[in-house]
Amino acid sequence: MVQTVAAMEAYNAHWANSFIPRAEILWIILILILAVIALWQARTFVSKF
Amino acid sequence: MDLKALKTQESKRKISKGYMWALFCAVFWGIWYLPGTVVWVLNPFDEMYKIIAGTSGDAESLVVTAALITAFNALTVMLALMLWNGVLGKFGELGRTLKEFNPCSKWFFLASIFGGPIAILGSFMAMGFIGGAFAAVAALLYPVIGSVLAYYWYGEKISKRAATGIIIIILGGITIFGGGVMTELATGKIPWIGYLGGLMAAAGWGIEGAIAGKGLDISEPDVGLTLRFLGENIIWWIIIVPILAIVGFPMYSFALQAFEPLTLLVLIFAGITFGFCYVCWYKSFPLIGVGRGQGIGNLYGLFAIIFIFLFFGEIPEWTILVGGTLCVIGSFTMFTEETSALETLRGE
Repeated sequence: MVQTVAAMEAYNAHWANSFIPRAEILWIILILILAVIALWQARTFVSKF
Repeated sequence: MDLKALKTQESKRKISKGYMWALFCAVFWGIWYLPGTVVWVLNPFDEMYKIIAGTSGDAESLVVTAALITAFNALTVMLALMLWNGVLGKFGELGRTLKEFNPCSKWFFLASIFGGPIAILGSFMAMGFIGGAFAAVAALLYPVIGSVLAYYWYGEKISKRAATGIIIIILGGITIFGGGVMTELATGKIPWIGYLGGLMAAAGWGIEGAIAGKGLDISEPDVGLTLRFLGENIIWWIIIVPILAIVGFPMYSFALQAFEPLTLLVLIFAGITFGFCYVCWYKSFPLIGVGRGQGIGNLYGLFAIIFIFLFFGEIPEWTILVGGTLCVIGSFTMFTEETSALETLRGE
């Protein structure tokens, strides 16, 4: 199923009032950065404990 | 350096790592609310909600749609955990733990029953029948159940300082969501099923933590959590979704329609945040205990407010600022506990 116009409008409305520019993309980048840090910490943890 | 000093240094390192994992859990849990919120407006879930609401009513539609979203969430969490275990080189350990059902994996399958269809479904029931703020407050009470159960079951120590910290964080959480709860409760007639859902969320996550603490005595948290989600996937995809399809809900047709790029993207990021949050939660338990791990994990309420404020632009009320301050005070009460008090997590 392709996203309807109404679904896309509702989706975009979530990010419309954000205090962060390009919030609709930055939330993904933030999660990726956090995930990489967590994985790096987990690797370090495995090697030291 | 003598043996005692080395032991103290090792203990300090262990505790600081335990708090770090619990804090990671809170951050991932908080940011999960971004994909967890926006997925509801995307197809096929918005169409599914409308169609089922038209025939069965809003409340039933909400629970059935939530069941499908939660099933997909469990599936994408499993993918995220495969990545996690792959990076850490733990597939061999995963196989070994899975084979040891009686001493080991039975605890994680049991944890999946309490964490999945009881806690998560209960939380969605509380959200649907009363409201989001009530559901969040109800869930915040889970460390009380987890730490009390861990204390009576296998004698996990909870110092007065840790108990004080947990209580301050819970009070902070209640203050954060308090305004919303008052509004929700003032709206009129509240069905008992919403309260039951709130109780299910608090009891389910609390019991899950205590059971996981038992299983983690003899297995690794990374693989233990993966088995817990294997159990949850079995429960959703082999038991609950087919039962809902048999009773007449169009589960499979909507499930197939979820394979759309934007919906999949949001579900995958929900899986990464939820999976990594859960694995960090489990990793903290053997290091600082179930009570402290769950207490610090409760900071998710504060992080959820921060991320929702930054990304959705929803300005918090003064109650949220007061509640957030209480959460930070509660965390510092626990962080600053003497490490000697944490050298052994279990009673004599």
